[in-house]
Amino acid sequence: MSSNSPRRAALVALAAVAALWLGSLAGCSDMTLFRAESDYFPLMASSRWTYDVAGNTAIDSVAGDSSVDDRACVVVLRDYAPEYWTKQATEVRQLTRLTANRDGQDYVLEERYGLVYQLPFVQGATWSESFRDTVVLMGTDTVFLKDSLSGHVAAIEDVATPAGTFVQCYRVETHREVEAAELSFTADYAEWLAPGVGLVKRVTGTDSTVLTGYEPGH
Amino acid sequence: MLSLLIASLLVTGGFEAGGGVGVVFPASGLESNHSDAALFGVNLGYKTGPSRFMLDYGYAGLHAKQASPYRLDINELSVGYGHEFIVGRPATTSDWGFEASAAAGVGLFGRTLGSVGETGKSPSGHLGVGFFQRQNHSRLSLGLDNIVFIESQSAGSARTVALTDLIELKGGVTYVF
Repeated sequence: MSSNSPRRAALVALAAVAALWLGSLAGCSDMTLFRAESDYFPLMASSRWTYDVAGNTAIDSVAGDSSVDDRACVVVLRDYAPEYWTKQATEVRQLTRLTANRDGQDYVLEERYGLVYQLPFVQGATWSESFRDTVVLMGTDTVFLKDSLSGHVAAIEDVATPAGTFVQCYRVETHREVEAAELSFTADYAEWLAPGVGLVKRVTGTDSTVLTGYEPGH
Repeated sequence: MLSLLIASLLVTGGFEAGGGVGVVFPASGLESNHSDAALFGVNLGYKTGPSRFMLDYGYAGLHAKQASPYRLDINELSVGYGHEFIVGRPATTSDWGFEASAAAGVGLFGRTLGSVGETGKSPSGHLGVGFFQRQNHSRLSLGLDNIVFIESQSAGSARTVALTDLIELKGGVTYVF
């Protein structure tokens, strides 16, 4: 027993040195598992985000669950205007409703849950969706509709906002193009989504939106 | 001096080499969007008295819970120590009992979604308990391991530390030289 003890101690020391060597190989970790387990678009009831939008304050909040167009969704009040979102493990969609006005009456050109994000976020991932339709208004007015969106996970970055510094944010760049008579528009914007928080920053051209406060829901 | 010590250890102890399979259960939040996965591993060991010193490599590929081209690959290399508590010794060439083990290592990760992906690494720590049976040149084992991957990042004056748990149920066969 006594002859084994120094040998065992030496082996323990060797194992400890090897473990330290392995640990040093790891160095500063890359937070890969942290990103893998994090929710980048939490939609918990009563969550509340406050943003600075070009000097003005905007408040987003989760109002609760609902059902629109025969589909369960989450109602998000974006500056008190309702938006309808669905979220699954592989995607996030938002109800898109485009209406055209003819002679004082609104006609629906498009009403569907359009793809916004593909999940889970992985750097370099891209997604796209295109919707086309032809709508005849008032019997003679034909409107050709095209609504396309493409997204790209461009980077993993830390973002400093008035609400704090958020690490391991995904920067998502989105291009949306709508062709529908007088409603046509093109939009390019970059969004930073933080783990456990969601949108913390958005830049559209020269305009920016930054998070100033966040109260998680339950 | 070190080489002499290592040489003396080589002639007084016993080497083991083997492999194992099992199931890995993600925990600590990872389970919300990752499914359980099969685990494969190989190991080298050195035994002297009730002490076992192990060099382990393990791999598990975790998929998304919904149909998706997403996968999280976890490779881990660890160095560990196990202490055997022998309960029964029915013959001079056989025994059985329980083993408690601890290990430290490094995890290498890959997250892929179709053709794109991210890679990363982090230190890890293990605690395990298991049953073993040794007979002649073979050693069978069945045990539970709790692996914690420790990730950290500083941003300004704050530091974010994330601990990710994986629970492994694994069985193995080892050849005792």
